Amino acid sequence: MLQFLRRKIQFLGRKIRHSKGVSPEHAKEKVSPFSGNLSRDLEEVKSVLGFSKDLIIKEFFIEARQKIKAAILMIDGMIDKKDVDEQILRPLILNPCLSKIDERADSQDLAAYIEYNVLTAADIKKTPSMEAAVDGILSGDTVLLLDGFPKAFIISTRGWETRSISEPETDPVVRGPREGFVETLRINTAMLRRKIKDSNLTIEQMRLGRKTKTDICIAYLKNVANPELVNEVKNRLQRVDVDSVLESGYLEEYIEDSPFSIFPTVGISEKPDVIAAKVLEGRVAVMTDGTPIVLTVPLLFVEAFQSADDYYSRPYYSSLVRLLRFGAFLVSILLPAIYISVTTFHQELIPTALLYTMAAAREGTPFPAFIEAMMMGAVFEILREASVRMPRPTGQAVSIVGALVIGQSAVTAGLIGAPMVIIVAVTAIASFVTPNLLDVGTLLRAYFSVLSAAMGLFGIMIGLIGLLIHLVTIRSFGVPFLSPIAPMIFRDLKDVILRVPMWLMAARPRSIEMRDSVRQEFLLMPGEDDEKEPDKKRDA
Amino acid sequence: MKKNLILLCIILAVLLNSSGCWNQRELNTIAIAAGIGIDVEKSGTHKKIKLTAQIVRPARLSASSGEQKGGSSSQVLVLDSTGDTVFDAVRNFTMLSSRKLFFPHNQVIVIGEEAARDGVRPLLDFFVRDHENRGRVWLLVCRGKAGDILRAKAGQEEIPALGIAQLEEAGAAASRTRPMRLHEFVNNLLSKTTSPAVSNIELVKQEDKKAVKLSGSAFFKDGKLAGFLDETESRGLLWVEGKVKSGIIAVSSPDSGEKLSLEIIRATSKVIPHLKDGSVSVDVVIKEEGNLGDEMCGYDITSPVKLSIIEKRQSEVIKKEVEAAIKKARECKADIFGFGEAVQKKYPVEWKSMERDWQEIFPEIEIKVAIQAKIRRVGMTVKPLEPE
Amino acid sequence: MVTVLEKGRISSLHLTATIAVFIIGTSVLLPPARDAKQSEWLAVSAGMIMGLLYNAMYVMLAVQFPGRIPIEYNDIIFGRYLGKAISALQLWFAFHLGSLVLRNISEFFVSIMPETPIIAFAVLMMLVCASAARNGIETIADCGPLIMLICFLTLFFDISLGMKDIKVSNYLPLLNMSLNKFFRESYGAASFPFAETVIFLMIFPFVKKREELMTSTLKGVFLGGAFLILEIIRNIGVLGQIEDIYTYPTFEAVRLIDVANIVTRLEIAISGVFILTAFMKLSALFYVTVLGSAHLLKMRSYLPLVLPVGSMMILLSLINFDNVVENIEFAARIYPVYSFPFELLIPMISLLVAKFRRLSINKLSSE
Repeated sequence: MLQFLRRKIQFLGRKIRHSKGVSPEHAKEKVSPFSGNLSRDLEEVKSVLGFSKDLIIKEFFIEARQKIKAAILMIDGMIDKKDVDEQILRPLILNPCLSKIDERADSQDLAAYIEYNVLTAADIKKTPSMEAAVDGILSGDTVLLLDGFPKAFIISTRGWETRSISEPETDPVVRGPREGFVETLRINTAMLRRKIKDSNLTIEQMRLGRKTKTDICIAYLKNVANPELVNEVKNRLQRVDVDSVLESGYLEEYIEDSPFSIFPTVGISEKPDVIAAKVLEGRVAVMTDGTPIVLTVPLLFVEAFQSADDYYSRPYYSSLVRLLRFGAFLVSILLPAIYISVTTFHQELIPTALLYTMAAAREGTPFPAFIEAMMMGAVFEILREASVRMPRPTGQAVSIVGALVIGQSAVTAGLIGAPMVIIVAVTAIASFVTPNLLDVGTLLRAYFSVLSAAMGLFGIMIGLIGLLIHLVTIRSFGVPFLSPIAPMIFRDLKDVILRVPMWLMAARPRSIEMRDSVRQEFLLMPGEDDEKEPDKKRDA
Repeated sequence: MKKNLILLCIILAVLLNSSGCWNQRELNTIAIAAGIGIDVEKSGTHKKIKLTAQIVRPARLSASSGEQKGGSSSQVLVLDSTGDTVFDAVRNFTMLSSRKLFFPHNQVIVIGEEAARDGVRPLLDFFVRDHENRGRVWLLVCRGKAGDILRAKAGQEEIPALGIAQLEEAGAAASRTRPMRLHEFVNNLLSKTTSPAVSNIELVKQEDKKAVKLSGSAFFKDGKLAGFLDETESRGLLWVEGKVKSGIIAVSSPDSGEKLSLEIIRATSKVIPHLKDGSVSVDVVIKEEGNLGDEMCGYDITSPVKLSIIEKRQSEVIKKEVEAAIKKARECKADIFGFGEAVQKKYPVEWKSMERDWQEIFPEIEIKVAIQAKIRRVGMTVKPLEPE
Repeated sequence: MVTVLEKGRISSLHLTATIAVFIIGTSVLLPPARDAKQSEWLAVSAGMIMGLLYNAMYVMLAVQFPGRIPIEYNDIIFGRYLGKAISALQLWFAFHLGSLVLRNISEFFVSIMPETPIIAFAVLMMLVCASAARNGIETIADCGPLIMLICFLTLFFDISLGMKDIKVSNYLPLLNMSLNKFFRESYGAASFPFAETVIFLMIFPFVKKREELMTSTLKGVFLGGAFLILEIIRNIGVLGQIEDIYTYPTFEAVRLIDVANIVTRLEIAISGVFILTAFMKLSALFYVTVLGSAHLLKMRSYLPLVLPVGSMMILLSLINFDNVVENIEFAARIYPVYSFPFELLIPMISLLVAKFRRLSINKLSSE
């Protein structure tokens, strides 16, 4: 069904594109070069930028005899003023050597001299294109123009107020690094590099968004990641010819495999250690400027149940927690449905003593169980949404009112049976165990509730099979989403249902095809040094 | 393809919407049956089935935890209904009760004596065939009307049927009755030779109110109630079946004739049939272990020899109980022990000729009872409460 | 070429699991060889051995024509017209079998939810199976190991919890029947469910490692058979004589599980196994039917057939029998005879002709 829709939409899209005669490639804007006449060029740049008031232009002479005029252009607030002062203005204006240059000297020579001998900035580019210069200005670089020289220097002086690195609010850990990505791409790539100091860590960059011109970085390990995967990621990203990319969520929707699936097929994280671990497993990370959220592909379903904590704590408890997470996810999507079906279809499945209690609680409540479940579910979602959107202090008031009204009054007034309140509460708590599947869980909960209200447990089972088929069908960048469960890859299960000790995870997960699957020597178990055979590198 | 999709949506919508009423019943629309009594009413040649249902009233249950509503009213509702067949009678409840009778949580089925004498096969078919009924329900027989049993109090439970079920389970502690679940009973009913026994329940007076008490067992022959076993005979039956879990054996002391009691800890039995020259004999070997529970006779048990005397007397008591059961079975020509099955399993070929006449053969077979009774422990004291 | 219709490939592990679950499907619901009573498990074991031989034959036939489905090589073996007719018959068998599976599983759910019309169960069940089948063999096979794992876990808990209710005397006397009857019952067990894997002839071409075909197939049959036999042994031990009178003995046996009044009412778990395995069996049968039909009709894709064939299968499942008694009669008496040509005759003749006349894939490609 979904595939059908997808095909239909692709077809429609193609039709529209053809009818408007727009090629999928973004039409190249025409290149206008600098003229070399400073005042004309400055006027040109100003008009391109719409005479914006945050554009700073400083004109000056770079030699004592005031023969050569120059100007620097930059956007206020996006540059580091100290850098501009120390690395550009000071050397240019105060350099005594400059005045010694022969006045007949060619502007080319002068430019070369300035570039190599005067400017102390590290990152300098020259460009004849005004568009490139304007792009540079808009990205926070400083552009230096020399009168009589038809090229612009783009000097990197980017520096703006950034948020300092802090602990991310999503996926907090008990043990492990507290740092999280920030909104600045460069800082983020640096944080990743600091985790993986390997020459094979490749960071490729591209710009997306016609208006936003957002910098995107693709990070992967050259000798581990599957080259086909890397190419696929690049191709898909290049296809994204859109107006704006404000957050990585924009990209996610354009590059995912199953746009009609409620399941995300692109992973997200804002923790450098998590991203580093994923890159080390052969995944590709996509970093977007302006957001701390980094995407990783391919995503497997089981990743929702893995937490960074699992790998930093000892394996036994981690394994137990893994199982718990799977259980909690099932509880969060199925519990209301099971309650509905056992109380309205299969009362024989309730233990006798419990049945008496439940029947007593149901006595006199006006709504059928299904309506109760739907109402309570909706109220819970409203509460959750309200407490997320509300400013912190108000949020607490919301939850108190919610807890009082729902937990107490509704039951005392006989509107809702007490068991249903318990069910909804348990469901809610269970759904928080797998935060990545929170949205999916809510949808699935409604889906199973409807099915169980219609057909009881048979409906739930049909729903589960339907869900299984869906999960088996979807792919994330060519990798079956449900692997290593289906298709079953036994050796990968060691990091799915359990988290075996590190020294047993010698091979990278097979679910993701990769070049190099050996992580470390086999048999690194502590205390077994004597038995260690260096050449016993299992796996291939 | 578009058409398919629309069709699919329509099918789903129709299915999900129209199914709203199939099989759906909220908890507050069902009458949870806790116990069922079966009697027959005869008027001339016409026979009607009378069912008594003990129905739980959940509202009363919840009230008992909070404020007491309505004071003395009971937590169960007992209703009678009659019909031509069992199922007919079940359906006739809907004319009495505002809610539909719901069986999966039924705890006990009590069959009145008269109905049981007429044969239980037709009565139980519904309870095996209908998907709502479960095999683990307890089956009992009562002297008199089953309806009266379900109207009496049972144990401490607020729901009498639950009380009866627990009596059955606790009945194992005394081993004076043969607790029987429906599936096991039906299993025996399908055998051509075995006469299954079930608990017998009767009315007694306690604190001026009617209450129930388990008392011995009743056994069936060919699906019809054939007789009752008293408590001793019931335990005799349990000894042979190896189903004695616990209980007290009272032994008279060799010195004074006063009693001392031994608690049964575990007991096993083996039934070994033999076929020699066409005549069947059965060896019953019972192994028992007990502890000294109390003594009211001041018998000193400190020497092994003295203890072995008690052991011997213990075996004699067990043997007496077993023989009482055998005697009763022989009198009634009812193979309550399932010896026929045992013979069939060991001698399937020869059995074929015997099967038909087993009723006649059974009272004549030789039954050897061997008891190996042991006393393992004597409690926290080793001497009686007597000055030396 | 069949590869035009199906691009997916399955691994040996998935084939094994799929076959095992296929065999468990509906046979655990309605165990075969019921007339053998307490020796039912023996009859089924004998049936499994026969089934292993059958399956070895199927694999030998498949190896003769690697990468081809029977619809393709029937034309070579039997000639153009007879071949087409035999292909149609084989497709009918898969189609009819599918409708029987659908009927059985729907009937089971109707018996526990009697007020719901059977068509509701049939339509929903068909819906999921058809959606699995239209996603290709990979989807069906991928579910295999997971479902097998769930089944075996359930079996483990069922049996370990029901262990205390098992009475050893229920198994005696062993083999209390004539050899003729025993053979008849075992043959019945071989025809349902073990030799129903004949439809895998249309799935074998998609297996990646052809050299492992034989072991993985036989392993699958053995695993499925072991599951079935264990369930039957448990049923007999727990239920004894009444095993014979229940329509769904496995269900009833699980219903009796009661550990301290807490772990009880586990029938939900076993109904889950019923529906999961039936799903697997039905989707495989449905898939084979649409794939084969598309090939026979020389279509480029089998997707257009999904809806019509699915609807027809639902209809056939509804009109197959008027009542349960007919169903039981058919399963016990008629089915062993009815399935004989499809399960034994046609594959055997195909194999003999192919071997004898040294027909193989080369001959096919030269046509």
